Amino acid sequence: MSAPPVPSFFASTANVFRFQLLRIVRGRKLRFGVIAVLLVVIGTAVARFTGGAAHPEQVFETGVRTGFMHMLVYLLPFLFISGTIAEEVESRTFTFIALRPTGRFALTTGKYGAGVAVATALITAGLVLLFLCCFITTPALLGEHIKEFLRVLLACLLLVWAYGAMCMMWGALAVEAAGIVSALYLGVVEFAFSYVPLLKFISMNHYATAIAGYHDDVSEMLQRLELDVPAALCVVIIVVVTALFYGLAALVVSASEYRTSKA
Amino acid sequence: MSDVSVRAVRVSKWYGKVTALQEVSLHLEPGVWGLLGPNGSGKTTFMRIIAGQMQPNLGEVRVCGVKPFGNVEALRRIGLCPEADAMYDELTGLEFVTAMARLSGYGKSEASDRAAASLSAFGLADAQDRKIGGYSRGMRQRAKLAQCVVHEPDVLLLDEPLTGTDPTSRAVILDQIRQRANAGALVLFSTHVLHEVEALTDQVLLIARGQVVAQGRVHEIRDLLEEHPHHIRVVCDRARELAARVLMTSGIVGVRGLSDHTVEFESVDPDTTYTSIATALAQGAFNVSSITSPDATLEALFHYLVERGSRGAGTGSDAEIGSGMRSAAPTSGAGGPS
Repeated sequence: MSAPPVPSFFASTANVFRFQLLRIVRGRKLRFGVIAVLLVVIGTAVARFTGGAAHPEQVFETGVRTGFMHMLVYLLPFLFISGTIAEEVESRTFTFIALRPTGRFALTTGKYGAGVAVATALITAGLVLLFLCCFITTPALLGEHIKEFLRVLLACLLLVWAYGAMCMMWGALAVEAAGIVSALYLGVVEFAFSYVPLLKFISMNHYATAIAGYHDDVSEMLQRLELDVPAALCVVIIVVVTALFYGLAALVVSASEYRTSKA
Repeated sequence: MSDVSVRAVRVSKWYGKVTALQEVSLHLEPGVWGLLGPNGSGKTTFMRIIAGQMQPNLGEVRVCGVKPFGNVEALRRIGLCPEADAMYDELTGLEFVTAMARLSGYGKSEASDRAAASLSAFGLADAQDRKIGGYSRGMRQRAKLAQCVVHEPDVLLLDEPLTGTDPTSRAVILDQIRQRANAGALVLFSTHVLHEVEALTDQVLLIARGQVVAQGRVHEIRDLLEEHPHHIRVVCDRARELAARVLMTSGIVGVRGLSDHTVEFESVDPDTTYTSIATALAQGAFNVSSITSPDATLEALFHYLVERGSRGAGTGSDAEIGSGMRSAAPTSGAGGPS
């Protein structure tokens, strides 16, 4: 008998990442994700080329805010990450990977990384397509709005990573109800609260909107409650919250005696 | 890292108010061990604790000298074939086993080679490029076993590995288990199919109601059950006459004629009874077809112990039975195979 030496953390993480990526590529969720992104891009393109009076900038902002920041940034992490632990525990395949000498921190990191990588690729591809759709007919605007595009891209990706960590944490903590709990958290705290004065400051979506350079139209009275948070600070807040949720997820997975078979 | 072994010291585990394991203590060394017990007896819980998937509420388990929960050094040396028929259906057999080998620490090409060899050893070479979702139950079972051994673990934990397998597959699986044990591995094999354990090993652990009710070699355990009448079945030409000759021997507590040619003696002193039967057969010039003991089969032993454990459950007698069996265990081969 000669089992190999214990792989390093990075080797283990890379192995889990590859394995999870293979599963996502082979699974149905990737197709749903691609279809969702295409629907948003196609819908925006239709609005761009059929709404005669609309400016490309307006169409781009509407497409980004409605399609990406209020839909895809929630949907994609939910699709690829919320069930990454929970589904394996529920389907009882978690045993196979938990038994390997990878360490549960590497396991969590690899799984999170794979889900986030796929969501990042789809969001990036979708935003590039959206940007091209909106500005392709006026090449001068293409260069003019490249900074806005990069800000939007950064905002959306930060949200994807943050929401991915949240889904990971809730999925690891509430295995039997991973989908419901993750959806409720994202729907209430991240989406609904982003419209409520004061409460919006606990929503990462609010900070991401600020990073993208977009502003909500609010009444004069509510403007008094507005707080102008610099974009750099918004980035730091989202990164810290992401790290916090990710750390909690790793702790939960490491300490859990998941039910993987009958007693 | 110390030698290959599994040691449990007063291990207890409960789920809420349900006690899954109660003060289980044992020491296993390389070889094949059959783990037997009725449904809900705590077999799977025990295996999961050894496999480092859960921690005992009380007591301690050590695998190869280290605690297994969350310990990658221990996990490196453990292979588990879980009972649940759960697999990654979207992957091919080769992809699945290769991925498991890579997670165990092998490089890409070595992992692939080992996976192919492992699948081949379990008769899945032709099906390795098919998706697992299309496998039969027996093939899935063999794929699970292939991933279990791909990293050459020192401790193999096989939870009902023969479920859903046909006779040919069973032969392949049992042969692989023997090979691994001969190479120095410790194999803990749980099953309900008792004769398969008997065919593979005579070292057994019997677990009932979360307690190890017996541990050791089948015949040695049998010898421990002194209060349980031993049955001796003789098939000969004049069964009634033989019964009459042997009836008055000391230790005989019952005689049953099963047919004109078969008589079964019930004895609490088997040695004396065997001698008396042999003497009577010789003196009476009987034509003997066979002398057997139905109690020597694992099935009889298992049912008897479980029945006895159930009778005494939750009482002082239960504790007495349990402790009595366990204290006898080291003399019954618990220290390892001879």
